[in-house]
Amino acid sequence: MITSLLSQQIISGIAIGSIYALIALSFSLTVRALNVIHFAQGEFFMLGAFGAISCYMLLGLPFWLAIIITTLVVAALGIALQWVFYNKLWKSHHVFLLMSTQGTAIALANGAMLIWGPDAWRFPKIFSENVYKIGGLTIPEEMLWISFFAILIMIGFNIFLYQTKYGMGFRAAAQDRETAQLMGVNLAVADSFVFGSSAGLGAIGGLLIAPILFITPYIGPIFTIKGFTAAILGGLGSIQGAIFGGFLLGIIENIVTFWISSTYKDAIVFLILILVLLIKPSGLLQKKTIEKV
Amino acid sequence: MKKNISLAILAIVLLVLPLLFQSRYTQHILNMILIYVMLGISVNLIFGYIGALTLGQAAFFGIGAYTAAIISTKLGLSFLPCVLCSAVMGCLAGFIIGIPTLRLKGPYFAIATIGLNNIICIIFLNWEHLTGGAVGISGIPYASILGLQFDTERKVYFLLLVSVFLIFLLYRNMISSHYGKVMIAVRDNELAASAMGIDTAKVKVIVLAISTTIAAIAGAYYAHITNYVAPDAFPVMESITFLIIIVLGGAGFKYGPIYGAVVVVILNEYLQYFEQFNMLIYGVLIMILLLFLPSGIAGIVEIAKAKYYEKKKIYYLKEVGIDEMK
Repeated sequence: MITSLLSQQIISGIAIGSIYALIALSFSLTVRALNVIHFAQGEFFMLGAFGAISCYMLLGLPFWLAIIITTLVVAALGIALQWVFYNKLWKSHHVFLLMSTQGTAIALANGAMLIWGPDAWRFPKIFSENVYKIGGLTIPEEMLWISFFAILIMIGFNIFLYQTKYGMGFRAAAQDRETAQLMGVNLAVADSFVFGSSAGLGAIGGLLIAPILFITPYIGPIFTIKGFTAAILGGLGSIQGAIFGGFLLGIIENIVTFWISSTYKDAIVFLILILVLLIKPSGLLQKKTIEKV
Repeated sequence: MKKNISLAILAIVLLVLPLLFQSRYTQHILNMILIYVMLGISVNLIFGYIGALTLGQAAFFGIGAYTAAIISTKLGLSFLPCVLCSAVMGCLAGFIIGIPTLRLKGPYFAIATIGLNNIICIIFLNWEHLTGGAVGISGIPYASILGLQFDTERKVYFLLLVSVFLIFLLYRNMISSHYGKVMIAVRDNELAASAMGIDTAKVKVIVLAISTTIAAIAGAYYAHITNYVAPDAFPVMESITFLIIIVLGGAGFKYGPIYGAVVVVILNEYLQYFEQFNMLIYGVLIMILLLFLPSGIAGIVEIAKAKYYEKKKIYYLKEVGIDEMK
């Protein structure tokens, strides 16, 4: 009985976990490549969901086209923000960088409020509403589709980073900027790639979750902090760690909601964040890092 | 001598200021500026002088406000004991939270404080029989000291002015004392400071506790002035506003909190005219300020002062016939 309840929670956790994994991945990208914690990640996620609403509901485009257009637009927005603001704040204290990303988050959330209004939007069901029952477990089909697409995107992104020439160049730039530049990597392109893909991945997360969530302009911050918690769980800056952390957080959250309390669900997530920061700041997956003097 | 005159002028201006404005609204803005000066001082101690970026100061502000609200409505204690209890609670919370989290470096401490602020807000929202849940606590009495009721904005202004003056005095003495130098040493190079025999962890925790005490006192005043506390007054966004006050006013400058509080409160009020655009403008303004004004208003004032005295010195030297000071 307990095992079947537990496995039910784990399965429900995987769908939301795959979304957290996408956001965590976008955090890890900017941290690993440029040591920037980009606090507007949840806003890119929110814009992704609104992009889906605009393209699919208001303009009547097919869903696959909505995904492509929204992702590209949000990625372009990420790159534009990088060129206008972050490039100039690069060398300054990390506080300024952190605060400027917070400023971005405020501006984006309220800009979205101006365009789409403060009310919640309900996206139509685009995935089938079938429910599979396998050995006492109920699995909604839309959850399967969401996890499937999220995992597909992550695998594709990993293949790009680890198997292609460009991916290798970008990874080299993340490790050692000067040497990578000497080897012929265009740093400006690499930086824009990092910001653009990080914003785009967040937007895909929002697009995928749109059908099962009420979307308002103010959902950004909670997903920012949860995505960040996921990234910390797996080890900030690690690609595999982000994915692992995302799924782990989704599962933990579901188990907590079910077994402990749903009102204190978010509080427990934040407690986990603080505890991991204190006890194992390098994340659950990574080996201990030694601080250099 | 000259300094004394300018101080006297400042004191007169501050005392006459509320009498110049008749509308309750303007007087309310003056009071909010004073509360934000207190909060600015509290953030400047921990961020400006220790260098720990805190995005959770609103949690301590909220702890102070809720402590005062609960004690005054449930136990019926008067104003001063309430402020004292809030201060003790703020101090305790600072120690409890600071001892583990201040080991974290740079942005990690900031993130831990964001998590903390969210946890405190969720507790305010859900611990219903103590905090009243989403409705909050209303019917907090006006502040009164020795039978004197502070029930109008103008009376409250003078109460706040005296309190801010006392806190500012303590703060100024603290940062210009030996301990202030220790704090700056810890901020600028923690490793070198610990090599000089400074217990950096202890310094950080003590300064955080002082800063949270001040934030909690500001919270107690806030509760008694507005007569009402609710959980939506203390979100992370409010902590960011406190930080903006300091970055705009000048982090690590003595007068930074004052410049910052004046500008941010007035800016916030003016932005209300833009209705739904106000937060958008606010966000963009933050980024523009960070780009073009990284050392804040106090930084500009310092530069201007240095230039002014430089010039005067050269004039003086010219008068006495020395010219090679260029």
